[in-house]
Amino acid sequence: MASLTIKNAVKRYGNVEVLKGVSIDLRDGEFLVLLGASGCGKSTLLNMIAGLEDLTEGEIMIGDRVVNDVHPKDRDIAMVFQSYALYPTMTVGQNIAFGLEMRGVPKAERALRVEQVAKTLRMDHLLDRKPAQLSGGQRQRVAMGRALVRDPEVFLFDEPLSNLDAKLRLEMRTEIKRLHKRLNATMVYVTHDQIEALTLADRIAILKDGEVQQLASPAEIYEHPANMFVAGLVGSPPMNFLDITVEAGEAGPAAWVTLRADGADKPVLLDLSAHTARLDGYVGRKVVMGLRPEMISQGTTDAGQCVQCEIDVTEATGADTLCVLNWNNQEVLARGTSGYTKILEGTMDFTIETERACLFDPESGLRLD
Amino acid sequence: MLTRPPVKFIDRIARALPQIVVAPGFAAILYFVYGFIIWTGYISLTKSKMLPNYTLIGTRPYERLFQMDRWSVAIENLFIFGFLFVFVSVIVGCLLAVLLDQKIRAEGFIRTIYLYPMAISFIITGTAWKWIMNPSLGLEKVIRDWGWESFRFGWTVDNNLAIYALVMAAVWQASGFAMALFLSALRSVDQDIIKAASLDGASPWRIYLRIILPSMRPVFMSAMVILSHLAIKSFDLVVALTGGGPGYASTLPANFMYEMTFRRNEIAVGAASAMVMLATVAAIMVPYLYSELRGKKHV
Repeated sequence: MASLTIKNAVKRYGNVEVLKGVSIDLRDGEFLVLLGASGCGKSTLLNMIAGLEDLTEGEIMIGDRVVNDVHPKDRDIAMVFQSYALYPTMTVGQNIAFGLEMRGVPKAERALRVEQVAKTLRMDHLLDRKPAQLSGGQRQRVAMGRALVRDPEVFLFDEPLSNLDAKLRLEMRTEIKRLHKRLNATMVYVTHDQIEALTLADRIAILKDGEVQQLASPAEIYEHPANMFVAGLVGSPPMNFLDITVEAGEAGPAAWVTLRADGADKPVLLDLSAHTARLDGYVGRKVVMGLRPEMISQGTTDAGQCVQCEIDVTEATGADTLCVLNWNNQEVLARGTSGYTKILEGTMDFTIETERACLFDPESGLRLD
Repeated sequence: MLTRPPVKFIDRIARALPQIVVAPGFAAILYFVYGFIIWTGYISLTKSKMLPNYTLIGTRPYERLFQMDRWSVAIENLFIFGFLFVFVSVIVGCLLAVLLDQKIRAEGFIRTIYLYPMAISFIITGTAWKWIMNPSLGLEKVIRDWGWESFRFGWTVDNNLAIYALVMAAVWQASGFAMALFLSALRSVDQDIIKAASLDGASPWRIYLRIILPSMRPVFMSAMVILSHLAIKSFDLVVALTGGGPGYASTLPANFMYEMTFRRNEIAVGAASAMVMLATVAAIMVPYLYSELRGKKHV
């Protein structure tokens, strides 16, 4: 096990800059998720850690060894690919043992370690099969086994779950989490699925256009997104963004929002006094208010400001019912009471937890702090 | 009561259209391929000499065929030629493909050069190589003129080496084709597998030997079948390059068949040799087709 340090990594293909100076520092045993849309450079970064691509500038260190010019096989890393990349002509056992064989591990020890790994991943009955005879989930397990058997310093995962169906993905996600807990190994995991990122990571690095937008723990990223991009990417259903103009209210800053209720538009003054320090100097200016759906809950509670608004459409997902509201002529998602028991219709009470809202500068997109 | 509306004539035609379109070609194949196979099989059991004669005489033409030294030379040649041609072409083609797969410059251009011989007819290949290998005007003369006086390259005029001259020309022609087959298979290998193998610590040539080439087994099969049937059918190359000579040292079965049927007034023996060739091809093709048509489960 080892720490992993990426210092100012830059990657250019000709004139195109794919990574613009990424710096990430990983503790020994930490689970880092690289999250971003396709083309953001996350897979390039992973390939660079693996040694499959060269850095244009910068430095990558595993432990206290600079590995820029170290061949992939000597970096002591193992990688799980999205396509699993199993060797099609070898059996499962041979697939798992191949890395050991190439490293000159004696046959008896190889067999022993393959058996151990197969037992851990509950696939000892599959060892004699060829990859073509396995299901997607089983192939995924073999790919993991191939990485595990090597007992490397760093594990790399390149969207390992995106070829699985929803149910298996959930199972394997838990499996990976359990694995990390047991091995306590340094892991880097690339995904575009924010739920995977939130559930697995110790820390998430969100990438966009080759730059790290935010590097923080899942809780930090969810509660205090650094900018509007991060806020919009993480969380499902996504955060609502409202353009508001800050006014000086009686108790502090406030903003007018037009709510649709009982068939008519009704202006309501939202109290933003919890953000007084943050909004210092913003009175009279436009800001963007980000409210997650669960910050607008159905019913009257003393957690925030109560308003009445009309429900346009409801979307029941089983666990919760999402309500589409109309604020400032814009769709706003709110989380209604759970279950199918209650009928949500017409104009009802909602509580807005304004003190939990995120406020962003509309020009830079950065969160006001 | 409801009655089913009568089916219009035009609808019936429309329904039968696929069969109608395919029928002439089907009939032609049935007559010209299978019909003539049966006819040849029948003729091979008759006492036909210069013209077909339908008097059956049993397997006597086959007996005569296998007593002829010319036929045993032809069969032996076919084994030497077929074996060397297929293996050398596959190995050369595979090597070329692996070398071309190294992301080299001007790959398209080089690939075209290697593939071009396949576009030339065997007659032209044969003639060109006849000139190249002719001792008094080809390679031997050039090298001797350069000063290596004792250099000898008289394969086409040597009883024992003429068949290898055929192999050389045929390999030159077909290995580019084998290369194209292998190259497309190499290109279709998942790049992630290669990455995974190099992370696993395998050197490039071990990746080829242990992972990529084994996964190309079906392509090896196809290449071998295509090349084998080229070898068995070889006729024009022999005619152009050595004329079957010296003597009949480089005759192949197809040349034997032509010689017997059209030059020596031995139609029955010629037909018998054709049937033996058919059996040889079938012995190769049937197991292959069987394994291919059975499904791709065990590939």
